[in-house]
Amino acid sequence: MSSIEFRNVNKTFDGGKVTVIPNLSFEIKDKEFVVLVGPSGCGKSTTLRMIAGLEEISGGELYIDGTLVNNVAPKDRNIAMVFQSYALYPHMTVYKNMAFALKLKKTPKKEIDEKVMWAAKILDLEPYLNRKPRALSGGQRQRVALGRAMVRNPKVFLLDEPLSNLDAKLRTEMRSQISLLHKRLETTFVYVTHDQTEALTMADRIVVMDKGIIQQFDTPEKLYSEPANLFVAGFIGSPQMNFIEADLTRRGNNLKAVFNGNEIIIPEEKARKLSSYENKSVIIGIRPEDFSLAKNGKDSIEIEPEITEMTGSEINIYFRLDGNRYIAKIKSDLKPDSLRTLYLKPDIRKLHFFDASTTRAIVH
Amino acid sequence: MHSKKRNLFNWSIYAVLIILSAVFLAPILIILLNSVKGSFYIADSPFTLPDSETFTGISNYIKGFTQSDFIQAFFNSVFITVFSVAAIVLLTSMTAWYIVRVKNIFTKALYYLFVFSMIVPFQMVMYSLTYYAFELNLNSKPGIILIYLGFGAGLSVFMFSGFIKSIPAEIEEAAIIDGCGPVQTFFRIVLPILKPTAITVSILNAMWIWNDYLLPYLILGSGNDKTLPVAVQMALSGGYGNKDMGALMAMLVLAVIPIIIFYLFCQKYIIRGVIAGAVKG
Repeated sequence: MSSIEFRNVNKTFDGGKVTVIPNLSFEIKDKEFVVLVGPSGCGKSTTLRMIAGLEEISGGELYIDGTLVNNVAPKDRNIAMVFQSYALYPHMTVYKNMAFALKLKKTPKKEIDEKVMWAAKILDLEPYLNRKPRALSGGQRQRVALGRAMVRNPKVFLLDEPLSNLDAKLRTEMRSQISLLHKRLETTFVYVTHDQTEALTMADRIVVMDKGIIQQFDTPEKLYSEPANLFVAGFIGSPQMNFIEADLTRRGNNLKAVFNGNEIIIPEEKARKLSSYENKSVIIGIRPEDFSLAKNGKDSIEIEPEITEMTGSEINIYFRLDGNRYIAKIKSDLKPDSLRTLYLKPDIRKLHFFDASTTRAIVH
Repeated sequence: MHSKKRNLFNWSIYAVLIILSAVFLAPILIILLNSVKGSFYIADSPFTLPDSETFTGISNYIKGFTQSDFIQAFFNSVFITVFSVAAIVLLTSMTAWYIVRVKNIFTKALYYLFVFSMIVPFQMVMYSLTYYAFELNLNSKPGIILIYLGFGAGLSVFMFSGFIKSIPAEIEEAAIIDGCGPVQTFFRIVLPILKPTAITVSILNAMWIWNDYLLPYLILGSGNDKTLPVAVQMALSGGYGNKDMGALMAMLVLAVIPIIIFYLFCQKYIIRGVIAGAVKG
């Protein structure tokens, strides 16, 4: 068992003048891979550092494995942490870096040797054990940092933006390596990143944070398909979701969303949940990938692409409607000269509706 | 045309540097030449090379050794220099670590106090310092080490602080998670990383303390605790104004050899230490 539980935890700085985390309550289950994601300054790293014991908890309770750890020193929490800057000891060889924590615990030399060799083998570090960190590449250094954490056999692995300093190719490679490591070690992983692709591809569950508050704590699939509010909807997904302010009006049996002179008939299932919003404003969210090309103007919007981005199998099309900028992502083999005037058809079954005043999701 | 101009410019730079080197090396060369010449010839022609008439072999060295307190002063100097430098490196690196990592108004004030002490000339405080050194019984070899620690702290704290700022705090946090307390973090992680700066600080302080004349003269005087520079000045005095210049030159040569060896041994670290932390690695 190595669960982590936050109960009404808050964190303030400058003697209570600056509140970074107002009130945090959530639970990470044993052996779960949880990613904390959010924009810079949202409190995700502070949350991780509180688990590590590197930041004091101003109020509330933090439990690891059912034990209150508010006043437990980092070394006694049985955790291991991997830092963004690797934080390897530059004067020690790879072997000594990995063996350091065990040496401090006065672990027998034979056991240290076995554990270091075990981690080195898994991480392909055997040829580099006698090298100093400066003689290693970024990816190798990050593997040493992982190895240093592995040999301690911790209850919880904490990873603070560990891939941010790597190039795109290496990042993808390391991403899968960390996921494999999680499966192999069967330990709880808490991973901090601002990169939503990392979060979506690696996590069992994701905590989306903003201004120290959890916006949604759910599986990647749910975050993508059923975002709890406008913030999550805008944060998860790349390119980000389009938002259109619309008025809901009923004509006969149909509930319609009216925006910029356009009308959409809302499907029956969604319309039922939106009945209390009749004659009110809502915000409609539509993901760029939920647009498709139409041959003519029927049930579609006529647009003139402002910018087009070729991303390989897809094209991102930026366009304006009534001065607002939107983006559509279409799978296509369209030639650039054919991207003049287009008809885009939104998949109305995949529209998301948000309350315009509370920003909470109404129906997906 | 351009390369011709550049060549001319390069050569003129070389010429200036060669002249400067000669000017800086001349005193050492003159001492070395005169240390193997008879006293009379030193006064008569100090700049000529020794010849069969003026060359005295190592007799000046033997005289300097036997007729002065060279050995005792040498060991006094070694004792004071080694322990002062060790105290400066150890204590100022700890201080700098604290100043950089613990950010509050007290550490900020402390830092500026250390920096300010660098610009106070010794001559300004020497009389009051000597008075209090005698009052507090610091007029001894251990006492002068404490005074050197005070005078060396400014530059050393300044240099160590600059380097520590460039060390990511995450390295120390990793050590804390690995199980280090503050003392272990300092001695097992921070101090080894500070090695280049520690060597630079050692060299600069060792050269200063080894060659210092005024402070040991004022504090230790010319008794049994005197250091090499004082011993050289005191030694081999004859009648009024009369000195055995040959033996004196030999003593000077012997006095500078240890510090030159120490410098040559560590000089590659000086530049590394001075620029350390200036750029992101």
